[in-house]
Amino acid sequence: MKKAYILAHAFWVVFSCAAAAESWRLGFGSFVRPGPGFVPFLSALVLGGLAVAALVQAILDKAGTAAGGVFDIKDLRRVLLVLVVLAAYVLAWDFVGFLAATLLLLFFLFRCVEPLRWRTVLIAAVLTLTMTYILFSTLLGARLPPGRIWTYFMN
Amino acid sequence: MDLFHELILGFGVAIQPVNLFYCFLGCLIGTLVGVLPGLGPTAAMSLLLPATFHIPPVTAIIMLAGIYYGAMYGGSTTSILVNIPGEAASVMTCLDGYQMARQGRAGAALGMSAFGSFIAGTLGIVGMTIMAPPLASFALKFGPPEYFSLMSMGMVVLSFLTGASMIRSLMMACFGLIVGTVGMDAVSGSTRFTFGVTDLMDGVGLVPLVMGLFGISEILLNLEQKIDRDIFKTTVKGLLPTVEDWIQAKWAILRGTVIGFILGILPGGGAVLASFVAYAVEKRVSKYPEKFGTGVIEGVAAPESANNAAAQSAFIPLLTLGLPANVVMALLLGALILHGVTPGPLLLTKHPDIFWGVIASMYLGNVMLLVLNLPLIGLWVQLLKIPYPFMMPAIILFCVLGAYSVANSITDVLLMLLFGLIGYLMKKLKFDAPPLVLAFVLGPLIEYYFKSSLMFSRGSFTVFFTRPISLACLSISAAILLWSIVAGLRRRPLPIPKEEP
Repeated sequence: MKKAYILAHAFWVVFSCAAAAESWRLGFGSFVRPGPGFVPFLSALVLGGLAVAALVQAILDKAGTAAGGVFDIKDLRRVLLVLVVLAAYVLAWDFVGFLAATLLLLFFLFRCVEPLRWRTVLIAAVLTLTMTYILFSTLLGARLPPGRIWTYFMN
Repeated sequence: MDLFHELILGFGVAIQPVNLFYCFLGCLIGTLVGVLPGLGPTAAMSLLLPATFHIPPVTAIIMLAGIYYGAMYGGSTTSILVNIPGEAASVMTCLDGYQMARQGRAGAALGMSAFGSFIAGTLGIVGMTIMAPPLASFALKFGPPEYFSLMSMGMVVLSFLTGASMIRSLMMACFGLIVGTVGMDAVSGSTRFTFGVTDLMDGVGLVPLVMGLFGISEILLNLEQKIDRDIFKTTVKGLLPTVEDWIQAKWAILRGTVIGFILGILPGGGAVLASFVAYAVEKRVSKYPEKFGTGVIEGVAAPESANNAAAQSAFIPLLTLGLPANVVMALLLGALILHGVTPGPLLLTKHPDIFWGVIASMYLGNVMLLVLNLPLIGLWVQLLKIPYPFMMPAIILFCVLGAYSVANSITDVLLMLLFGLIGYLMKKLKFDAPPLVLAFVLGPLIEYYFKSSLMFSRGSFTVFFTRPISLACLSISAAILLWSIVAGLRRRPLPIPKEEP
């Protein structure tokens, strides 16, 4: 647990340094005529100071060493898998279209993330897809990508 | 008399069929969100924010407000019947509500919760109707230094009250300010932190940010744990509390209302804190504090009244000062800005229809919620039986499509997923999201007021200390920071929060 907190606070120290450097590059200006990097630079400076204080606290904390881990590798892998699949799903919209990509995503979510029987998966996936399509496309008028592959076949 | 006329104007707006419909829809969704654990009002509001772009601003705010105070009503159902709070403000209701259900008094607990909520909600709106106009007039005296100091104080107070660690909360507020500066600078026209991504020129959207931090991160956390809903097998009958129940609960309702109303106005207060404080106060003043937690009706009435009163009074600083008291109000502020309306003291004069329309809709919404919560209790119990594996994919799809449909942008969806991961890591490491969202929403305003103040004073920081209101706000912020430092030094080194079981 302690290691996770040290890593997290170290990340914020690095992040604040990077943000401060980029803000300075953008232009700090002066107190009379503040530039575009003025507020982000000051925010990064405060963030950096707080992160250093938190890092020192985490290093000095003895109670944290005895506590268990924050992350379970199995859970983290599952979380990252879902995020990667979701990112791939969104990126696939342009090529295979919303309907086909969503159906595949729902199969994955119903079957792999929460294992259900295939018949239940099929019914639940079709129902969820129909419901969301009607709501977003028909009722709210969202322009959902049809997919280049289908346009190619249609032509 | 003026107040009466303004209220009539508000009711004229609120009873328009379209506004009545959206008020009802908001209350219905709010109750649903409150009943179902795993999706809070913040996530639901961010999910539905894109859907409000097609409707007028007053209608949008009426609906979003309905979701918020509706969730306060609905949250008690799950607390009482399942011992799982539907949303955070109903945590305290579990203690005595569930015990009452186990003793066969689920109906009385649900009934008292609904009536208490109704009374407190209505009294809260009355207080708001009376307090808001003079506060808005007072706020007209505010200039950029006052606004900067007030907003800074809001962030400090929120960080102090909501977080497990003040340092981590303030870090998140700073991160929120940096994220808020992404995109084109309004003054110089130069792009900041876009790294060549054209879609980031307009900045990071509020919808992807809140959907990621609250919606996606919640789903990712739920992937780790199996959600079991063991509904207590009891027949829900006798929803009307008995005379004895009323006698026991009347002062608890009134005390809860006053506590909730005051804490709702304060930055960083809100419904969650109000329900905790109201329960603690009720236990302290009770003649039989040892019975709290075993199923006493005051233990249900006080927190439920407090969270509803707080849900109403939280609108006061938003509508009069343009200052959100909590993360839900920050979301509403974002929604108003997206609709081209700037909340603040001028809202009352420039958009009286919005100001009074929203207030009047709350009176109607409270009546709707009473009707929705009591006769339809059986329906809400049935809804609790829907297995989570069926809901999770639908919630994910709603988040993805909600983020996409704002600007038909895939970048927004990818940003939402990124903030989902950030939100998940933040929750695991006990970093708080509310200060981040508040700072993100207020960021552009803070930057504007800060720069304006400095330019006005020719670069002198004394401008913040020579004006009484600004000085008062900064003094409060400094006192809170000093208090945190002293408290931190006393118990050095600060413990890393223990993992929840």
